[in-house]
Amino acid sequence: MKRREFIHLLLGSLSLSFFSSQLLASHASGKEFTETIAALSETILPANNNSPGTNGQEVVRMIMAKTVESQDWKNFYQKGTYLLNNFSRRMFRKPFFRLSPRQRKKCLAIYWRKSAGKPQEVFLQAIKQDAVTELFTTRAGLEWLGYKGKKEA
Amino acid sequence: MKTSKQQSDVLVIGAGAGGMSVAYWLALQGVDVEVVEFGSLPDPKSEFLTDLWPDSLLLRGLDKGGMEYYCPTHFVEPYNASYKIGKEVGNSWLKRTRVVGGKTLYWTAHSPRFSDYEFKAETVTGRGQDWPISYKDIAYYYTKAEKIMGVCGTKEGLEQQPDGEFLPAFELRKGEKILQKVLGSSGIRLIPARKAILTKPLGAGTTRAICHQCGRCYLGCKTSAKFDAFTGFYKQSGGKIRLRSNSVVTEIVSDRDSRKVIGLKCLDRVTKEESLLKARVIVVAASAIESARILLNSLSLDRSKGLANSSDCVGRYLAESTGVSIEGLLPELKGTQVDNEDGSGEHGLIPRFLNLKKQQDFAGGFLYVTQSGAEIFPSFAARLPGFGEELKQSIKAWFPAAIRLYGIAPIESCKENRIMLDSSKSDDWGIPVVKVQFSLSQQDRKLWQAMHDYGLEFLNDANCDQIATDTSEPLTGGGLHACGTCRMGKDPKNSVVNSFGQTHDIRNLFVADASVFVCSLNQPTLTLIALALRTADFITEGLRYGDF
Repeated sequence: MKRREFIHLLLGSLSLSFFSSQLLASHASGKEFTETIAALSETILPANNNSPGTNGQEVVRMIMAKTVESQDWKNFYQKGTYLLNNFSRRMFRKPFFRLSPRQRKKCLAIYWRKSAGKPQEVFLQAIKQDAVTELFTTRAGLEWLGYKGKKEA
Repeated sequence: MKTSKQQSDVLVIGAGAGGMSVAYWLALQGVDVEVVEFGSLPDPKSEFLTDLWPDSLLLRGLDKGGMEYYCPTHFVEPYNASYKIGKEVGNSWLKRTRVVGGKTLYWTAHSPRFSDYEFKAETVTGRGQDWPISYKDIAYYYTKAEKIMGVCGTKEGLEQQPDGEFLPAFELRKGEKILQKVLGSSGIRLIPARKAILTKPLGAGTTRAICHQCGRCYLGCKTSAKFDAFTGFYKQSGGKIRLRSNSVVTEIVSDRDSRKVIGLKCLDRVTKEESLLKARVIVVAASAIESARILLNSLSLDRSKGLANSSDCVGRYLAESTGVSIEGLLPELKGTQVDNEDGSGEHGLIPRFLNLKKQQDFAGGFLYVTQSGAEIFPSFAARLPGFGEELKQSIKAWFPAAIRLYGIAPIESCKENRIMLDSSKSDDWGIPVVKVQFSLSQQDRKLWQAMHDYGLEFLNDANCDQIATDTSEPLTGGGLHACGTCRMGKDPKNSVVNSFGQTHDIRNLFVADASVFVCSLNQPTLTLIALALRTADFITEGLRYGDF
């Protein structure tokens, strides 16, 4: 699916409340936003001793590049991180990016379950797609999968 | 304006598949031919990004429908000032190349023959429209085209997808073999794809290498194992084709007294200096949209707008193809050995199986090309459930198990689908911009729906997991298969050219690209090259006997 079509589908599926002016006024700060995206994407595809994981900062960079072309995208990601951090604060008294890896995993599992059918789920799925794209377009990610293509002439 | 002192035998407008086919074949027969092309010469070694790894691109090449991966100077940018496209049409129509070699630099090289199920659709199936030629008329030129291009495949004896002169085929991949077995039980064939990619040397005198399976041919083939019109025709001619690149044709000039075309006006793309080039014969082969645009922008013999347009068909009957991509994961291949399955991509072909002996309530038929195994990007990965280490392991396990069907269906020819010139707005070279008017018919939607549903059914029958499609609505334009704007026919009242590509109105003016198609074909390139070679033979004969 082309990116523009995806944006339209995605935005069409979000409820108005997701973009309410109240939320717009109180969205996460720049640093909080980028750290949340990085932490979330690294929780979705984590690194360990034997395998590479998503580079959260690269995901942030990709998202920043995407948001250049669309304010809607920007709002979408900002609101998504804001709601996730709110949930995390209620659960652990800390924003998501300040949690330990174990806490992040627990928080995300519950949040994802509670988000079913809501705009929040669309946001999580979008970050998941971004994390997958980031990791599995790198040589390290592809080599870990066992990819043997791209032979040079 | 500079007037060329030299008169060519033949001037060809456009250096893509059609234009270069005509030029190559004429040049080989000793005809003096010059090709005029808007774009410049490509430099495959530096401009094709095939070797690039996706993480060297900001959005990993997945942005703008993958356009980041193509050499940007070869493409007309979306929203380019030359085009005016309504929202309902979509900007896919604008992904047009302007480079010597044209879209063949980036095509997937599928090269099936078509049969009288297409050329004589009305006679054979009772629906659709007949072309003024039958398969018999074009078979000889299919063979000629296959020998020049080097098409691999297997002889299957299928009436609807006739066999050709093939190089050895690419072997079907594991997933394709599984699907072949599943479909075989219900009488549906999955055969090795017919592709213009060298699987063995083509013979002495070619600079093209055998395919080394590097992957992603659609980004350009640096070794030219995949046929393209730049290497396969222009370079292969050994300097016999004169090329005038970076030249924008603004109009074709005709002479009222002799009722012939005498030359064309063109601008240097950069300096905008105007020249008049003269020739005994002119061949328009600038793509379905640009060929019609040039004719509509040229004065007719009675000095009204629209050359060779006494039928009012120039620009009309614009057609394309619709597509759908259906993906799934084959449980039998989960956790199996990962092989190098990039290769040339899409090694399998499911030929048309509908509306052959038994007719549905819609006309025409679609085909699928198939892809399976470990590609450079696991496009299914984000659809797998969960997150964390489990998700990673799941992606790894499913990596060799992906299978995809890409269905392509033709679109019904319809007079109302057309391109027009918008005289209120001109592009950078003073040529009126193109307006596209296009919509799908009920028949088109029914055919697309059947293609969508059968694809899902096939993957269900193969017990695939995580089946998904890229769209729930038919999309057009993505296949870059625009055609029909100068359709061929026997009757000058409802067609632009005869079966040899010669315009009904002017005997020394020809069209030799997919504009001449009567209906859209799922994979048009081999057919348009075969028709262009036929046109070249007709012109050679005409020049020999002084017809022009």
